[in-house]
Amino acid sequence: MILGIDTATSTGVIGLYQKEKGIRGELSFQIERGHGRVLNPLLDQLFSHLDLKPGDLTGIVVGRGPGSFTGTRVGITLARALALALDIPLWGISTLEALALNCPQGDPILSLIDARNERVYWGLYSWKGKRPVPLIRDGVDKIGCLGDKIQAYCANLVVVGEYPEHYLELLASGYSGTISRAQVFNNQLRGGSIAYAGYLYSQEKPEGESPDRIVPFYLKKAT
Amino acid sequence: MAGDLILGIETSCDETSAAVVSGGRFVKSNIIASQINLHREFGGVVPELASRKHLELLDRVIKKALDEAGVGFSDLDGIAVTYGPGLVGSLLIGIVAAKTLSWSLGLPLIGVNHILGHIYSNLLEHPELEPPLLCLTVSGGHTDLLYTEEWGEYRILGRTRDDAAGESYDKVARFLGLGYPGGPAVERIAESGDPDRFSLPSPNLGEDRFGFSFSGLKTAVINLAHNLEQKEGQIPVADIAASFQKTVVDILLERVERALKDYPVDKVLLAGGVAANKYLRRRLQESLEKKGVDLYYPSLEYCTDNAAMVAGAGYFLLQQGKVSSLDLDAYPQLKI
Repeated sequence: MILGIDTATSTGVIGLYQKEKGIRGELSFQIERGHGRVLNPLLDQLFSHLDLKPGDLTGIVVGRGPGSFTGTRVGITLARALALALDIPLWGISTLEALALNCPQGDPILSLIDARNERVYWGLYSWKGKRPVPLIRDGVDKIGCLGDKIQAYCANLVVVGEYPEHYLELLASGYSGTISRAQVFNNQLRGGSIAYAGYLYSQEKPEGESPDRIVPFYLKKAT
Repeated sequence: MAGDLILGIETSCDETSAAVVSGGRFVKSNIIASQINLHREFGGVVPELASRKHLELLDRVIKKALDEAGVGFSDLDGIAVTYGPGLVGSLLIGIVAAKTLSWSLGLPLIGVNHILGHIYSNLLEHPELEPPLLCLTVSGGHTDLLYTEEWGEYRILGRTRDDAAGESYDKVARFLGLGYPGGPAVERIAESGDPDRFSLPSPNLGEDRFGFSFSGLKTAVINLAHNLEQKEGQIPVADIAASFQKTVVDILLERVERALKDYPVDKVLLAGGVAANKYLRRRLQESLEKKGVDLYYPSLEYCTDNAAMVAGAGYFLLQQGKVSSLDLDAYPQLKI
Protein backbone atom coordinates (compact mmCIF):
# COMPACT_ATOMS: atom_id res chain seq x y z
CA MET A 1 0.00 0.00 0.00
CA ILE A 2 1.38 3.37 -1.11
CA LEU A 3 0.84 6.62 0.77
CA GLY A 4 0.72 9.80 -1.31
CA ILE A 5 1.13 13.23 0.35
CA ASP A 6 1.27 16.77 -0.98
CA THR A 7 1.20 19.93 1.14
CA ALA A 8 2.86 22.37 -1.27
CA THR A 9 -0.34 24.24 -2.15
CA SER A 10 -3.21 25.50 -0.04
CA THR A 11 -4.93 22.20 -0.81
CA GLY A 12 -3.14 19.60 1.31
CA VAL A 13 -3.85 16.00 0.30
CA ILE A 14 -3.32 12.48 1.55
CA GLY A 15 -4.15 9.34 -0.43
CA LEU A 16 -3.69 5.59 -0.13
CA TYR A 17 -3.45 3.28 -3.12
CA GLN A 18 -3.37 -0.49 -3.05
CA LYS A 19 -2.87 -2.55 -6.19
CA GLU A 20 -5.69 -5.05 -5.52
CA LYS A 21 -8.23 -2.55 -4.22
CA GLY A 22 -7.44 0.75 -5.94
CA ILE A 23 -7.71 3.99 -3.97
CA ARG A 24 -8.33 2.98 -0.37
CA GLY A 25 -8.92 6.47 0.91
CA GLU A 26 -8.10 10.08 0.32
CA LEU A 27 -8.35 13.32 2.23
CA SER A 28 -8.11 16.89 1.08
CA PHE A 29 -8.00 19.99 3.26
CA GLN A 30 -7.82 23.55 1.98
CA ILE A 31 -5.98 25.77 4.45
CA GLU A 32 -3.70 28.73 3.81
CA ARG A 33 -1.31 27.75 6.59
CA GLY A 34 -1.05 25.25 9.40
CA HIS A 35 -0.31 22.08 7.43
CA GLY A 36 2.25 21.23 10.11
CA ARG A 37 -0.40 21.03 12.81
CA VAL A 38 -3.11 19.11 10.96
CA LEU A 39 -1.27 16.72 8.65
CA ASN A 40 -0.36 14.11 11.27
CA PRO A 41 -3.79 13.98 12.97
CA LEU A 42 -5.55 13.69 9.59
CA LEU A 43 -3.26 10.89 8.52
CA ASP A 44 -3.97 9.13 11.81
CA GLN A 45 -7.72 9.54 11.32
CA LEU A 46 -7.64 8.20 7.77
CA PHE A 47 -5.73 5.15 8.96
CA SER A 48 -8.01 4.46 11.90
CA HIS A 49 -11.21 4.82 9.84
CA LEU A 50 -9.78 2.32 7.37
CA ASP A 51 -8.56 0.09 10.19
CA LEU A 52 -4.99 0.29 8.90
CA LYS A 53 -1.66 0.48 10.75
CA PRO A 54 1.42 2.49 9.72
CA GLY A 55 3.16 -0.85 9.25
CA ASP A 56 0.76 -1.70 6.38
CA LEU A 57 2.55 0.82 4.18
CA THR A 58 4.99 -0.41 1.55
CA GLY A 59 6.05 2.95 0.12
CA ILE A 60 5.55 6.72 0.24
CA VAL A 61 5.39 9.33 -2.50
CA VAL A 62 5.55 13.00 -1.61
CA GLY A 63 4.99 16.23 -3.53
CA ARG A 64 8.19 18.27 -3.77
CA GLY A 65 6.49 21.48 -4.80
CA PRO A 66 7.02 24.06 -6.13
CA GLY A 67 4.68 25.98 -3.86
CA SER A 68 4.66 27.20 -0.28
CA PHE A 69 8.14 26.66 1.17
CA THR A 70 6.92 25.83 4.66
CA GLY A 71 4.03 23.74 3.37
CA THR A 72 6.25 21.69 1.08
CA ARG A 73 8.70 21.05 3.90
CA VAL A 74 5.93 19.75 6.15
CA GLY A 75 4.97 17.02 3.68
CA ILE A 76 8.56 16.09 2.91
CA THR A 77 9.57 16.04 6.58
CA LEU A 78 6.69 13.67 7.33
CA ALA A 79 7.51 11.46 4.36
CA ARG A 80 11.21 11.24 5.16
CA ALA A 81 10.59 10.51 8.84
CA LEU A 82 8.06 7.82 7.94
CA ALA A 83 10.42 6.21 5.44
CA LEU A 84 13.13 6.19 8.11
CA ALA A 85 10.91 4.74 10.86
CA LEU A 86 9.30 2.05 8.72
CA ASP A 87 12.31 1.43 6.49
CA ILE A 88 10.25 1.65 3.30
CA PRO A 89 11.04 3.26 -0.08
CA LEU A 90 10.32 6.91 -0.78
CA TRP A 91 9.73 8.74 -4.06
CA GLY A 92 9.29 12.42 -4.88
CA ILE A 93 6.82 13.88 -7.37
CA SER A 94 6.64 17.40 -8.77
CA THR A 95 3.46 19.03 -7.48
CA LEU A 96 2.98 20.37 -11.02
CA GLU A 97 3.05 16.81 -12.35
CA ALA A 98 0.59 15.82 -9.63
CA LEU A 99 -1.80 18.51 -10.90
CA ALA A 100 -1.41 17.33 -14.50
CA LEU A 101 -2.60 13.89 -13.36
CA ASN A 102 -6.07 15.47 -13.00
CA CYS A 103 -6.36 16.21 -16.73
CA PRO A 104 -7.35 13.80 -19.49
CA GLN A 105 -4.93 12.67 -22.16
CA GLY A 106 -4.92 14.97 -25.19
CA ASP A 107 -3.57 18.49 -25.49
CA PRO A 108 -0.50 19.47 -23.46
CA ILE A 109 -1.32 20.47 -19.91
CA LEU A 110 -0.11 23.69 -18.30
CA SER A 111 -0.04 23.25 -14.51
CA LEU A 112 -0.10 26.50 -12.55
CA ILE A 113 0.53 27.23 -8.89
CA ASP A 114 0.18 30.85 -7.81
CA ALA A 115 3.49 32.33 -6.64
CA ARG A 116 1.79 35.70 -5.88
CA ASN A 117 2.10 39.11 -7.59
CA GLU A 118 1.17 37.66 -10.98
CA ARG A 119 3.98 35.16 -10.82
CA VAL A 120 3.32 31.46 -11.22
CA TYR A 121 5.13 28.20 -10.77
CA TRP A 122 4.41 26.38 -13.99
CA GLY A 123 5.02 23.09 -15.72
CA LEU A 124 4.10 21.90 -19.21
CA TYR A 125 3.14 18.23 -19.34
CA SER A 126 1.95 15.72 -21.87
CA TRP A 127 0.71 12.18 -21.26
CA LYS A 128 3.13 9.43 -22.19
CA GLY A 129 1.89 5.96 -21.35
CA LYS A 130 0.43 5.87 -17.85
CA ARG A 131 1.47 9.30 -16.66
CA PRO A 132 2.23 12.86 -17.70
CA VAL A 133 5.85 13.77 -18.44
CA PRO A 134 7.32 17.29 -18.59
CA LEU A 135 7.84 18.84 -22.04
CA ILE A 136 10.22 21.42 -20.55
CA ARG A 137 11.62 22.09 -17.09
CA ASP A 138 9.23 23.42 -14.43
CA GLY A 139 9.76 27.13 -13.89
CA VAL A 140 8.63 30.30 -12.15
CA ASP A 141 7.73 33.38 -14.22
CA LYS A 142 5.39 36.32 -14.59
CA ILE A 143 2.16 34.89 -15.95
CA GLY A 144 2.16 37.54 -18.72
CA CYS A 145 5.54 36.30 -20.01
CA LEU A 146 4.59 32.65 -20.04
CA GLY A 147 2.95 32.54 -23.48
CA ASP A 148 6.27 33.24 -25.22
CA LYS A 149 8.03 30.45 -23.40
CA ILE A 150 5.52 27.73 -24.19
CA GLN A 151 4.31 28.83 -27.62
CA ALA A 152 6.80 26.60 -29.41
CA TYR A 153 5.74 23.49 -27.50
CA CYS A 154 1.99 23.47 -27.93
CA ALA A 155 -0.62 24.75 -30.36
CA ASN A 156 -3.39 24.26 -27.80
CA LEU A 157 -3.34 23.68 -24.10
CA VAL A 158 -5.35 22.82 -21.02
CA VAL A 159 -4.72 24.91 -17.91
CA VAL A 160 -5.00 23.28 -14.51
CA GLY A 161 -4.33 24.56 -11.01
CA GLU A 162 -5.39 27.15 -8.44
CA TYR A 163 -4.79 30.70 -9.67
CA PRO A 164 -6.56 34.08 -9.66
CA GLU A 165 -9.12 34.43 -12.46
CA HIS A 166 -7.39 37.28 -14.29
CA TYR A 167 -4.20 35.24 -14.77
CA LEU A 168 -5.91 33.48 -17.66
CA GLU A 169 -6.32 36.75 -19.60
CA LEU A 170 -2.69 37.66 -18.90
CA LEU A 171 -1.65 34.24 -20.20
CA ALA A 172 -3.85 34.56 -23.30
CA SER A 173 -2.35 37.96 -24.16
CA GLY A 174 1.01 36.33 -24.93
CA TYR A 175 -0.17 33.06 -26.41
CA SER A 176 -1.77 32.51 -29.80
CA GLY A 177 -3.19 28.98 -29.37
CA THR A 178 -6.47 27.84 -27.86
CA ILE A 179 -6.62 27.68 -24.08
CA SER A 180 -9.12 25.43 -22.39
CA ARG A 181 -9.57 24.97 -18.67
CA ALA A 182 -9.65 21.86 -16.54
CA GLN A 183 -12.92 21.03 -14.81
CA VAL A 184 -13.32 23.07 -11.63
CA PHE A 185 -13.17 19.95 -9.47
CA ASN A 186 -9.87 18.97 -11.11
CA ASN A 187 -8.08 22.22 -10.31
CA GLN A 188 -7.02 21.00 -6.89
CA LEU A 189 -4.67 18.15 -6.07
CA ARG A 190 -5.99 14.65 -5.38
CA GLY A 191 -4.34 12.38 -2.84
CA GLY A 192 -5.50 9.23 -4.60
CA SER A 193 -3.94 10.11 -7.94
CA ILE A 194 -0.64 11.00 -6.25
CA ALA A 195 -0.66 7.68 -4.39
CA TYR A 196 -1.35 5.94 -7.71
CA ALA A 197 1.60 7.77 -9.30
CA GLY A 198 3.64 6.42 -6.38
CA TYR A 199 2.48 2.94 -7.25
CA LEU A 200 3.77 3.46 -10.81
CA TYR A 201 7.11 4.69 -9.43
CA SER A 202 7.28 1.57 -7.26
CA GLN A 203 7.06 -0.50 -10.43
CA GLU A 204 9.74 1.55 -12.20
CA LYS A 205 12.11 2.00 -9.26
CA PRO A 206 11.20 -0.41 -6.44
CA GLU A 207 14.12 0.59 -4.21
CA GLY A 208 12.90 4.21 -4.10
CA GLU A 209 14.99 7.36 -4.26
CA SER A 210 17.67 8.31 -1.77
CA PRO A 211 15.81 10.26 0.97
CA ASP A 212 18.63 12.85 0.95
CA ARG A 213 17.52 13.80 -2.54
CA ILE A 214 13.90 14.31 -1.59
CA VAL A 215 13.99 18.06 -0.99
CA PRO A 216 11.60 20.79 -2.14
CA PHE A 217 11.70 22.24 -5.65
CA TYR A 218 12.02 25.77 -4.30
CA LEU A 219 12.79 27.44 -7.68
CA LYS A 220 13.58 30.57 -5.62
CA LYS A 221 16.59 31.41 -3.46
CA ALA A 222 16.33 31.56 0.33
CA THR A 223 17.96 34.99 0.56
CA MET B 1 12.61 0.55 33.28
CA ALA B 2 9.61 1.79 31.32
CA GLY B 3 9.90 5.28 29.84
CA ASP B 4 13.63 5.16 30.26
CA LEU B 5 15.09 5.71 26.79
CA ILE B 6 14.06 8.93 25.07
CA LEU B 7 14.95 10.19 21.59
CA GLY B 8 15.18 13.99 21.68
CA ILE B 9 14.90 16.27 18.64
CA GLU B 10 15.85 19.94 18.58
CA THR B 11 15.50 22.26 15.55
CA SER B 12 14.40 25.55 17.13
CA CYS B 13 17.11 27.76 15.66
CA ASP B 14 20.31 27.02 13.75
CA GLU B 15 21.34 23.70 15.24
CA THR B 16 19.94 20.42 13.93
CA SER B 17 20.24 17.96 16.79
CA ALA B 18 19.07 14.50 17.88
CA ALA B 19 20.04 12.60 21.01
CA VAL B 20 19.30 9.47 22.97
CA VAL B 21 19.18 9.90 26.75
CA SER B 22 18.46 7.30 29.40
CA GLY B 23 16.55 8.14 32.58
CA GLY B 24 16.70 11.86 31.88
CA ARG B 25 20.31 12.01 33.00
CA PHE B 26 22.57 9.67 31.04
CA VAL B 27 23.51 10.71 27.51
CA LYS B 28 23.89 7.80 25.07
CA SER B 29 24.42 10.08 22.09
CA ASN B 30 24.08 13.77 21.28
CA ILE B 31 24.51 14.68 17.61
CA ILE B 32 24.62 18.38 16.75
CA ALA B 33 24.90 19.63 13.17
CA SER B 34 25.59 23.35 13.46
CA GLN B 35 24.64 25.78 10.72
CA ILE B 36 26.73 28.65 12.09
CA ASN B 37 28.98 28.80 9.02
CA LEU B 38 25.95 28.96 6.76
CA HIS B 39 24.54 32.04 8.49
CA ARG B 40 27.79 33.84 9.33
CA GLU B 41 27.96 35.81 6.09
CA PHE B 42 24.51 37.26 6.82
CA GLY B 43 25.45 38.38 10.36
CA GLY B 44 22.65 36.35 11.91
CA VAL B 45 20.33 33.42 11.41
CA VAL B 46 18.35 33.56 8.15
CA PRO B 47 15.09 31.74 9.00
CA GLU B 48 14.37 30.37 5.51
CA LEU B 49 17.94 29.07 5.14
CA ALA B 50 17.75 27.45 8.57
CA SER B 51 14.50 25.64 7.74
CA ARG B 52 15.93 24.35 4.47
CA LYS B 53 19.01 23.02 6.23
CA HIS B 54 17.05 21.34 9.05
CA LEU B 55 15.01 19.39 6.50
CA GLU B 56 18.16 18.26 4.68
CA LEU B 57 19.95 17.15 7.83
CA LEU B 58 17.38 15.90 10.31
CA ASP B 59 16.81 12.28 9.31
CA ARG B 60 20.55 11.68 8.94
CA VAL B 61 21.15 13.25 12.37
CA ILE B 62 18.44 11.05 13.94
CA LYS B 63 19.94 7.95 12.38
CA LYS B 64 23.40 8.87 13.63
CA ALA B 65 22.06 9.48 17.15
CA LEU B 66 20.53 5.99 17.21
CA ASP B 67 23.65 4.37 15.73
CA GLU B 68 25.98 6.09 18.16
CA ALA B 69 23.75 5.11 21.09
CA GLY B 70 23.72 1.55 19.77
CA VAL B 71 19.93 1.36 19.80
CA GLY B 72 17.15 0.95 17.26
CA PHE B 73 13.73 2.59 17.10
CA SER B 74 12.22 -0.43 18.86
CA ASP B 75 14.34 0.22 21.99
CA LEU B 76 12.91 3.70 22.52
CA ASP B 77 10.27 4.64 25.09
CA GLY B 78 9.35 8.09 23.83
CA ILE B 79 10.03 10.89 21.35
CA ALA B 80 10.69 14.34 22.80
CA VAL B 81 10.81 17.46 20.66
CA THR B 82 11.23 21.20 21.15
CA TYR B 83 7.95 22.93 20.21
CA GLY B 84 9.00 26.46 21.14
CA PRO B 85 10.23 29.06 21.49
CA GLY B 86 12.20 29.50 18.28
CA LEU B 87 11.82 30.08 14.56
CA VAL B 88 8.47 28.74 13.43
CA GLY B 89 9.69 27.17 10.17
CA SER B 90 12.62 25.52 11.93
CA LEU B 91 10.54 24.25 14.85
CA LEU B 92 8.04 22.68 12.44
CA ILE B 93 10.66 20.40 10.89
CA GLY B 94 11.47 18.82 14.25
CA ILE B 95 7.84 18.71 15.34
CA VAL B 96 6.50 17.04 12.19
CA ALA B 97 9.35 14.51 12.22
CA ALA B 98 8.76 13.75 15.91
CA LYS B 99 5.00 13.39 15.45
CA THR B 100 5.57 11.05 12.53
CA LEU B 101 8.06 8.91 14.47
CA SER B 102 5.73 8.81 17.47
CA TRP B 103 2.76 7.78 15.31
CA SER B 104 4.52 5.20 13.18
CA LEU B 105 6.39 3.61 16.09
CA GLY B 106 3.52 3.78 18.59
CA LEU B 107 5.58 5.82 21.09
CA PRO B 108 4.50 8.68 23.34
CA LEU B 109 5.15 12.18 21.97
CA ILE B 110 6.50 14.75 24.41
CA GLY B 111 6.55 18.43 23.44
CA VAL B 112 9.33 20.20 25.33
CA ASN B 113 9.76 23.89 26.05
CA HIS B 114 13.24 24.77 24.84
CA ILE B 115 13.97 26.87 27.95
CA LEU B 116 13.04 23.98 30.21
CA GLY B 117 15.48 21.89 28.18
CA HIS B 118 18.30 24.32 28.96
CA ILE B 119 17.58 23.97 32.68
CA TYR B 120 17.63 20.17 32.52
CA SER B 121 20.89 20.25 30.58
CA ASN B 122 22.58 20.64 33.97
CA LEU B 123 21.38 17.18 35.00
CA LEU B 124 23.18 15.54 32.11
CA GLU B 125 26.55 16.17 33.73
CA HIS B 126 25.41 16.32 37.35
CA PRO B 127 22.95 13.45 37.66
CA GLU B 128 23.01 13.77 41.45
CA LEU B 129 21.55 17.28 41.29
CA GLU B 130 18.35 17.70 43.31
CA PRO B 131 16.14 20.73 44.01
CA PRO B 132 15.40 23.14 45.66
CA LEU B 133 17.45 25.49 43.54
CA LEU B 134 17.55 28.71 41.58
CA CYS B 135 18.12 28.68 37.84
CA LEU B 136 19.29 31.56 35.68
CA THR B 137 18.66 30.93 31.98
CA VAL B 138 20.51 33.33 29.70
CA SER B 139 20.42 32.95 25.94
CA GLY B 140 19.82 34.80 22.69
CA GLY B 141 16.09 34.61 23.29
CA HIS B 142 15.70 34.48 27.07
CA THR B 143 16.71 35.83 30.41
CA ASP B 144 14.71 34.01 33.06
CA LEU B 145 15.26 33.56 36.77
CA LEU B 146 13.40 30.54 38.17
CA TYR B 147 12.96 28.84 41.49
CA THR B 148 12.45 25.06 41.44
CA GLU B 149 11.26 23.07 44.43
CA GLU B 150 10.96 19.74 42.61
CA TRP B 151 11.79 18.53 39.11
CA GLY B 152 9.05 19.31 36.61
CA GLU B 153 7.79 22.26 38.69
CA TYR B 154 9.11 25.81 38.75
CA ARG B 155 8.19 29.35 39.72
CA ILE B 156 9.22 32.28 37.50
CA LEU B 157 10.80 34.99 39.59
CA GLY B 158 11.78 37.30 36.78
CA ARG B 159 12.23 37.58 33.04
CA THR B 160 13.30 40.21 30.56
CA ARG B 161 10.88 42.91 29.46
CA ASP B 162 12.62 43.60 26.16
CA ASP B 163 15.88 42.21 24.76
CA ALA B 164 17.34 38.99 26.11
CA ALA B 165 20.89 39.18 27.47
CA GLY B 166 22.27 37.18 24.53
CA GLU B 167 20.32 39.32 22.10
CA SER B 168 21.98 42.45 23.48
CA TYR B 169 25.38 40.75 22.97
CA ASP B 170 24.44 40.05 19.35
CA LYS B 171 23.20 43.58 18.72
CA VAL B 172 26.21 45.22 20.33
CA ALA B 173 28.54 42.86 18.45
CA ARG B 174 26.88 43.71 15.17
CA PHE B 175 27.09 47.43 15.89
CA LEU B 176 30.79 47.20 16.82
CA GLY B 177 31.46 45.11 13.71
CA LEU B 178 32.52 42.05 15.70
CA GLY B 179 30.58 39.49 13.69
CA TYR B 180 28.22 36.64 14.49
CA PRO B 181 27.60 34.91 16.86
CA GLY B 182 27.95 37.99 19.05
CA GLY B 183 28.47 36.42 22.49
CA PRO B 184 31.87 34.80 21.91
CA ALA B 185 32.98 37.81 19.78
CA VAL B 186 32.26 40.34 22.53
CA GLU B 187 33.76 38.10 25.19
CA ARG B 188 36.98 37.65 23.20
CA ILE B 189 37.64 41.32 22.56
CA ALA B 190 36.52 42.31 26.07
CA GLU B 191 39.46 40.36 27.50
CA SER B 192 41.82 43.09 26.29
CA GLY B 193 39.56 45.96 27.33
CA ASP B 194 39.07 47.97 30.52
CA PRO B 195 35.71 47.02 32.04
CA ASP B 196 35.72 50.06 34.34
CA ARG B 197 36.45 52.72 31.72
CA PHE B 198 32.82 53.48 30.95
CA SER B 199 29.93 53.56 33.35
CA LEU B 200 26.79 52.29 31.65
CA PRO B 201 23.23 52.45 32.98
CA SER B 202 21.60 49.52 34.69
CA PRO B 203 17.82 49.47 34.85
CA ASN B 204 15.76 50.05 37.95
CA LEU B 205 12.53 48.10 37.51
CA GLY B 206 10.94 49.10 40.81
CA GLU B 207 8.57 46.46 42.11
CA ASP B 208 9.76 43.92 39.54
CA ARG B 209 12.72 43.01 41.74
CA PHE B 210 13.89 40.02 39.68
CA GLY B 211 13.07 41.36 36.22
CA PHE B 212 15.57 42.26 33.51
CA SER B 213 15.83 44.85 30.76
CA PHE B 214 18.72 45.14 28.30
CA SER B 215 17.45 47.35 25.51
CA GLY B 216 18.36 50.59 27.32
CA LEU B 217 21.88 49.30 27.86
CA LYS B 218 22.24 48.46 24.17
CA THR B 219 21.09 51.97 23.20
CA ALA B 220 23.51 53.50 25.73
CA VAL B 221 26.38 51.52 24.20
CA ILE B 222 25.50 52.68 20.70
CA ASN B 223 25.19 56.32 21.81
CA LEU B 224 28.48 56.12 23.67
CA ALA B 225 30.24 54.69 20.65
CA HIS B 226 28.82 57.40 18.38
CA ASN B 227 29.92 60.16 20.74
CA LEU B 228 33.42 58.76 21.11
CA GLU B 229 33.76 58.35 17.39
CA GLN B 230 32.86 62.01 16.87
CA LYS B 231 35.17 63.23 19.63
CA GLU B 232 38.14 60.91 19.21
CA GLY B 233 37.76 59.82 15.62
CA GLN B 234 37.62 56.14 16.54
CA ILE B 235 35.69 53.71 18.71
CA PRO B 236 37.60 52.07 21.60
CA VAL B 237 35.95 48.73 20.80
CA ALA B 238 37.68 46.60 23.46
CA ASP B 239 36.94 49.02 26.30
CA ILE B 240 33.32 49.41 25.23
CA ALA B 241 32.86 45.64 24.90
CA ALA B 242 34.42 45.07 28.33
CA SER B 243 32.31 47.77 29.98
CA PHE B 244 29.15 46.47 28.30
CA GLN B 245 29.86 42.91 29.38
CA LYS B 246 30.60 43.96 32.95
CA THR B 247 27.29 45.83 33.13
CA VAL B 248 25.32 42.83 31.78
CA VAL B 249 26.92 40.54 34.34
CA ASP B 250 26.42 43.10 37.15
CA ILE B 251 22.72 43.13 36.35
CA LEU B 252 22.45 39.33 36.27
CA LEU B 253 24.45 38.96 39.48
CA GLU B 254 22.42 41.53 41.36
CA ARG B 255 19.16 39.68 40.58
CA VAL B 256 20.60 36.33 41.63
CA GLU B 257 21.90 37.76 44.91
CA ARG B 258 18.52 39.35 45.57
CA ALA B 259 16.73 36.07 44.86
CA LEU B 260 19.00 34.17 47.23
CA LYS B 261 17.82 36.41 50.08
CA ASP B 262 14.17 35.45 49.43
CA TYR B 263 14.93 31.85 48.47
CA PRO B 264 17.90 30.71 50.56
CA VAL B 265 18.93 27.63 48.55
CA ASP B 266 22.44 26.23 48.26
CA LYS B 267 22.44 25.57 44.51
CA VAL B 268 22.27 27.88 41.52
CA LEU B 269 22.10 26.59 37.96
CA LEU B 270 23.23 28.56 34.98
CA ALA B 271 21.70 27.56 31.64
CA GLY B 272 21.34 28.75 28.06
CA GLY B 273 23.84 29.76 25.40
CA VAL B 274 25.27 32.65 27.42
CA ALA B 275 26.15 30.16 30.18
CA ALA B 276 29.17 29.47 27.98
CA ASN B 277 30.50 32.95 28.79
CA LYS B 278 33.56 32.44 31.02
CA TYR B 279 33.47 35.95 32.45
CA LEU B 280 29.87 35.42 33.62
CA ARG B 281 30.77 32.03 35.11
CA ARG B 282 33.74 33.44 36.98
CA ARG B 283 31.88 36.43 38.43
CA LEU B 284 28.94 34.26 39.50
CA GLN B 285 31.28 31.67 40.97
CA GLU B 286 33.15 34.31 43.04
CA SER B 287 29.95 35.80 44.35
CA LEU B 288 28.29 32.48 45.22
CA GLU B 289 31.37 30.96 46.81
CA LYS B 290 31.32 33.65 49.48
CA LYS B 291 27.75 32.64 50.32
CA GLY B 292 28.48 28.90 50.40
CA VAL B 293 26.25 28.35 47.37
CA ASP B 294 27.29 25.88 44.64
CA LEU B 295 27.15 27.00 41.03
CA TYR B 296 26.36 24.48 38.30
CA TYR B 297 26.71 25.17 34.62
CA PRO B 298 26.78 22.85 31.61
CA SER B 299 29.89 22.24 29.55
CA LEU B 300 30.02 23.91 26.15
CA GLU B 301 28.34 21.03 24.33
CA TYR B 302 25.24 21.38 26.52
CA CYS B 303 25.19 25.18 26.67
CA THR B 304 24.39 25.57 23.02
CA ASP B 305 21.17 24.18 21.61
CA ASN B 306 21.23 20.40 21.78
CA ALA B 307 18.76 17.55 21.75
CA ALA B 308 20.15 15.77 24.83
CA MET B 309 18.63 18.42 27.05
CA VAL B 310 15.31 18.02 25.21
CA ALA B 311 15.37 14.27 25.74
CA GLY B 312 16.33 14.88 29.40
CA ALA B 313 13.44 17.25 30.06
CA GLY B 314 11.16 14.96 28.03
CA TYR B 315 11.90 12.09 30.39
CA PHE B 316 10.68 14.02 33.44
CA LEU B 317 7.59 15.29 31.62
CA LEU B 318 6.76 11.73 30.54
CA GLN B 319 7.14 10.54 34.13
CA GLN B 320 4.48 13.08 35.06
CA GLY B 321 2.23 11.96 32.21
CA LYS B 322 2.69 15.26 30.36
CA VAL B 323 2.47 13.92 26.82
CA SER B 324 1.40 15.72 23.65
CA SER B 325 -1.09 14.80 20.95
CA LEU B 326 -0.53 14.59 17.20
CA ASP B 327 -1.81 18.13 16.68
CA LEU B 328 1.21 19.56 18.52
CA ASP B 329 2.09 22.86 16.85
CA ALA B 330 5.07 25.23 16.88
CA TYR B 331 4.93 28.07 19.41
CA PRO B 332 7.59 30.60 18.35
CA GLN B 333 6.91 32.86 21.36
CA LEU B 334 6.48 30.11 23.94
CA LYS B 335 7.39 31.26 27.43
CA ILE B 336 8.32 29.20 30.40
